[in-house]
Amino acid sequence: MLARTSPGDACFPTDVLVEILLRLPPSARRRARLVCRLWRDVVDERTTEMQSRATALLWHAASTIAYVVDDLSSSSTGSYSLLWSGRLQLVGTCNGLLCLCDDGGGITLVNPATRETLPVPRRPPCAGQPFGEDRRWHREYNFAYHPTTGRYKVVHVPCSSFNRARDAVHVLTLGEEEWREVPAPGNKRSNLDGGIVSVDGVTYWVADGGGTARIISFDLDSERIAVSATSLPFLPARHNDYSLTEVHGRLGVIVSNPAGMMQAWVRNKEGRWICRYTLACPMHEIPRPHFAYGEHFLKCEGQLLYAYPRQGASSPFGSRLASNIVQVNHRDRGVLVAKMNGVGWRFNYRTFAYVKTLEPLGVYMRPQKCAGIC
Amino acid sequence: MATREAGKKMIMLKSPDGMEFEVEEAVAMESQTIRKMIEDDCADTAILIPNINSKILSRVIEYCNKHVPTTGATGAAASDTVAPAALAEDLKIWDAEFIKVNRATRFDLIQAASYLNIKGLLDLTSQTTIDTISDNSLEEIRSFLSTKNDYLPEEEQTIRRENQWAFQ
Repeated sequence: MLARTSPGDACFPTDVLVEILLRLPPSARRRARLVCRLWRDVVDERTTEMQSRATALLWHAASTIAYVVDDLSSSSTGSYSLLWSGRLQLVGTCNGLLCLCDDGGGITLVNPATRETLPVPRRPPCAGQPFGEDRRWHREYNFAYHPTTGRYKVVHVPCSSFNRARDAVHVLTLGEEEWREVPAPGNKRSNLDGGIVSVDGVTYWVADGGGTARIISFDLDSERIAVSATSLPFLPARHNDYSLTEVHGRLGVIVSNPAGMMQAWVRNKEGRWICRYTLACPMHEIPRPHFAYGEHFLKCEGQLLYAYPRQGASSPFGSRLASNIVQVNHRDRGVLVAKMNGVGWRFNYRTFAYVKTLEPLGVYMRPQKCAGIC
Repeated sequence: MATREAGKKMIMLKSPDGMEFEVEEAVAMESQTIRKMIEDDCADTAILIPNINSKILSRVIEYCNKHVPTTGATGAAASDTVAPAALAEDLKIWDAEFIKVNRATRFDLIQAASYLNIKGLLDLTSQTTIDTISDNSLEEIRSFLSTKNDYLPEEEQTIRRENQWAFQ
């Protein structure tokens, strides 16, 4: 029970707070945990918000269909269900929302749980980037949520090879009409194969050229671009053989090490790369861009998707080399969580984190309402 | 305040500060809490409503009077002749006027609506605060609701990580 009181208690009693928090959209309810300890405790103890868990969304690019894996735990029956299908390509997922892109670069957001859709204002064309060309537009965008401001943003990274002087990040805040342009540091071409991920309010991608690969970060609040001092753990032999990922709220990278083994490295608090996951068999793949789901790491082998517990020395699957490394060998079968159609994962399926939420999109349809002062 | 009408069952609601309100049973039953008491036969002739002072209770009754189905409080004939859409529009305008109260009263109304379990009144009274929390920065929320940030910086980092669905 909640015994604590806050200074605001006199005019904002806990019972009122509970009623308010229960009525907030899920993302706002989570953000409310940052207001103060009392609010966090109320969300944790009086609502079911923190019990919702993300599962794996499997995106089949060729047929533009999204499936969700029913269960990643050891009780998995290997079943999955259809979540969404249409003609658009998936850019990414965030808080239960899907960000989709048409073949002309137009963005639409969808909540599959409520069937709400929201077309996003079109990005103005920039020099050297003709619209309508056959491009894989979805690879140039990212969709993210800023944890303290509560704003959703669609980010387009600089990827023009025609006119570098005009390279810029374009960003749209949901609810606003205009995209903003933020000039990017010169001569840094984005490597779209490396992916774009957003972690804790920052969007990351990799710029490479001249034998160096640098992580570029874009702060979703201040909308500033920075070139990170941290480079990748190591630069793989092949240019396209790494991709950024998110692991338990931290930036990660999936990469083939010089010995040909797939590994996932995670950047720790101090900014150093720590290896967390190694697949010892060269035929196995770490699914991209998202492989870490709660207590489970995923692996794909042909069309089979397996899950491995990420912790626990007594784990029957994989072995723990050091404090936190999961190493998966030939014999470690894991739990089969999905058997997909088609041959192999790498070029057919992508994996994302998905959680069923009632996150509203309709509120962004009208112009941003004037904030009512409570 | 309610007036007695022929053939209608009346219920007495008492506030802790000693005021008594006689209301139609149908109006009182807009509150799911009171409805349950009446249905369970624990109502007798008077029901004490704890923690809700007479000022707030009278406003709650005013709301229930307006929102009770079929017998509109604006006049006996109103609901027979007015189209449902117009009635809904009329209610919306009435609600907007009703909620023009200061913050302390609104919080009291939320608390009363929560205790008495009146969904419509709860939705109406909590919307402004919901919009405030949805649309403003954490600092602004804290200052509007006079709450202080009592986190250490590293705790804040932990909560930001926990808040991501992909984290757990």
